[in-house]
Amino acid sequence: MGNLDAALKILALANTLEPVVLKYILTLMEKAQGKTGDEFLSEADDIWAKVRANAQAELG
Amino acid sequence: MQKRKASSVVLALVLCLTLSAWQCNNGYQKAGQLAKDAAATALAAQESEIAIHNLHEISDEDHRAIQQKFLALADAGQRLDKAINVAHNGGDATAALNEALNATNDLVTNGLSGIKNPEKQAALKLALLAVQTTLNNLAIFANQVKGAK
Repeated sequence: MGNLDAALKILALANTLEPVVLKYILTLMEKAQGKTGDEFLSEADDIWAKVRANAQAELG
Repeated sequence: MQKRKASSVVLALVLCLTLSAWQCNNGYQKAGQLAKDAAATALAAQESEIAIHNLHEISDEDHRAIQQKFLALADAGQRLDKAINVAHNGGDATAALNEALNATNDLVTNGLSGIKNPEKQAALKLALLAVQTTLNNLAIFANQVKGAK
C-alpha cells in the first residue's frame, strides 16, 4: 500500500511538472535538430513582410 | 521491488507523453520549415518579376497587377503563419492554407500572361509552382499529422 502511495505521489508530481519539463525537453530536442517551429514561423513571417514591403514599394 | 516497478511505470508514462508530444512538436517544426520555404520561394519569384519589369519585358500595368497579387499572397502567408501557430495549440489552419493556395493559384493562372519573354515567363511560373508545391506539401503533411492524432 505504501508503494502504491509512493507511485501515486510520483505520478502526481510528474503530472504537475509535466508541462514545464516536457517543454524543456522538447525545446532541447528541437534545438538538437536545428531551429524550433516558432523560429521557422518567425522567419517565414519576416520574409512575407519583405514580400509585402516590396509589393507596396512597387505599387507606389 | 514493487517500488522499482512503480517507478518504471511512471518513467514509461512520462516517456510516452514526451515522445507523443515530441512527435506533435516535430510536426510543428516541420510545418514551420515548410511555411518558411514557401515564403522564401515567393520572395524569390517576386524579385524575379521585379527584375523582369526593370528590363522592360513587362508593362507597368501588368507589373502593378502582379504586385497586387503578391501583396495578397504576402497577407495570406502571414495569416497562414499565425494559423499554423494556432493549429499547434489545437486550432485549424485549413482555411488559411487554402487562402494562401488560392493567392498562389491566382498568380500562376492570371499573373503571368503579360510577360513578353517566354523563357522568363516560364522561369517565373516555375518559381510560383514551387510555392504552390510547398503549400500543397504543407497541406498533405498537416493531414498526416491530423490523422496520426
